[in-house]
Amino acid sequence: MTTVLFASLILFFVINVPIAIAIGLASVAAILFSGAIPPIVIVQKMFTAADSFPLMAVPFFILAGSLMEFGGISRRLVEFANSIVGRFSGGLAFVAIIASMFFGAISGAAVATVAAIGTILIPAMVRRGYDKPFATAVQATAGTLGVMIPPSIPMIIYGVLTGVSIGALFMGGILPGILVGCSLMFVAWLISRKKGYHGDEKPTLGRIWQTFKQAILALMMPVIILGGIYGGVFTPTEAAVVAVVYGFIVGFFIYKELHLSQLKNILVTTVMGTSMIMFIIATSSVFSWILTAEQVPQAVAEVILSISKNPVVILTLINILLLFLGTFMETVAAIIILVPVLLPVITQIGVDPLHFGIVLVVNLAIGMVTPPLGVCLFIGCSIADIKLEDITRAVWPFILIMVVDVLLLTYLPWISTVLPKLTGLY
Amino acid sequence: MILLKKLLNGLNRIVEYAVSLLLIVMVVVVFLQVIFRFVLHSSLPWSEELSRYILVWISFLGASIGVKRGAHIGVEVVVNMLPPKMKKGVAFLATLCAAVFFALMVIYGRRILFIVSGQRSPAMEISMGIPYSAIFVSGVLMFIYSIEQALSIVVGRRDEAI
Repeated sequence: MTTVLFASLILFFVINVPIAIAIGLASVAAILFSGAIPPIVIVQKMFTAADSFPLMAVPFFILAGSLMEFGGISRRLVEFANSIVGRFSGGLAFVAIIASMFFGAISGAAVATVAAIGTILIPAMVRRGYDKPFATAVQATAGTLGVMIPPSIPMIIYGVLTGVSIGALFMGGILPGILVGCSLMFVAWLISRKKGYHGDEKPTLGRIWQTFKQAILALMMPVIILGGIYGGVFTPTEAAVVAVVYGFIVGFFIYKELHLSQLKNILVTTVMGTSMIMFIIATSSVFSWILTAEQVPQAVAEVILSISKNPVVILTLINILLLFLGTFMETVAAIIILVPVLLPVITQIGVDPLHFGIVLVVNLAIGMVTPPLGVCLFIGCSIADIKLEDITRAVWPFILIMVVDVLLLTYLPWISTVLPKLTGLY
Repeated sequence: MILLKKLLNGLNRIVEYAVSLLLIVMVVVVFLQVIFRFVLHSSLPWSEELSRYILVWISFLGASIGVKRGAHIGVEVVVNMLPPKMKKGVAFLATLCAAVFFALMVIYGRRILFIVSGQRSPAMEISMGIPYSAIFVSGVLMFIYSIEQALSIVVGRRDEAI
């Protein structure tokens, strides 16, 4: 049955059946083949997967991000970031990374971050004489910070699957996000110095203060979200809805850049973004239910533990597996299918599931910028109007440093767990 | 064919308005839940359940908009390596595969309604058929859209031959 499941999945993937449907069809094929399970289970599992209050944070965070983007927030964040780091060599690359970190604190998705910040910064970098592939590579990799810095849609899904507190995962993502952000800036700085990309002149303190004042309402949003969750005031879903209302008020009444005519478009794109994720969650939950029923997690655990019982070795193996699969698989689908399979091994070797969740999210984020299948690269390339082949060479240094980051995070668990523990969330 | 396309575009537009409205209601309901807890210190018994069922409807109806707009992501690497003629054939095949899945959603989505319709939801005491029918309704929509897509692939090929 498992053979049918995986063989048909690969077949459907190869002929380009959309991911959610391919996963669903493979599950159907396995169920029909076994004959032991009534196929009505499929619909029932799909319903229960979507019927979830914690998952409601997904549309809310997408909507909040979208309201902030159309409301003129991304531009203000970019200007503020520019006043702080614009003066250094490769200054605009720094701005792209810092602004993506700020935006990542509002949005929970990598693609949204690339789109929101990249539409401003990729053209700006090109105008300043940065070569297009470099500019695009910086922005695409910076966008992955969107899933590391809270809020984060993959973390919400991991939390729902494993029962690890979503608030704790959010808190745990902060330091790793900063680590990855700084390491990306380091690489961008090395390359920029070699290529001679100069920064702007040093801004006055007054200018920094002015841009800060402009951006303060946007910068307040993460404070509300994280502060609310940390203070035990909101659940993540409620924090997300507060962010929506806040974004709406700021965009409509304070910045006044949002218009009612844009609203329908914003709502429909939010629903589409949401349902793309939810549909994958729904069909993957059938798939992962079959895996569990077939005791695949136990079998996988046995195989892995027969290779080694050393946590360092096992984590390295799992990281390699994740890097490989992340290149080909969509992040949400990868999480839903892999987490139930890998979690028994992880807990058996004594790895903290919170720590593993962070490593998993950062690792899979690398998959979003690895050619030939990286969603962030696609968005970046379409903004810069270049082909994927052109960017491949420029993106490797950034991927390499991210791999180093993942290894650091894997072997230094405290980077991920210290903040949740300090704040009492874990 | 053009008439069919126009009809389906109209249908999709209605669905788009419906999901937009549902999303607004979901935001309002969950926000009310927060307000009630903090400002009025009493909790709404129905807000969580209602918003969850709206999420189910949004998820599946939204997926139908995705099918209509061809927005669901797939793995394109292998297909892109094929010669154009085969590419079309494979695209046709993939669309049919999707149609099969949607047909199953329709069949079993209807069958499960007979089972769950009698059950009442815990908080609002509405029939469980109401949230569950999201799968059946969206299944129907997606099935129609995918058939339209399959047809337009075939028609497109004929046009090329001429």
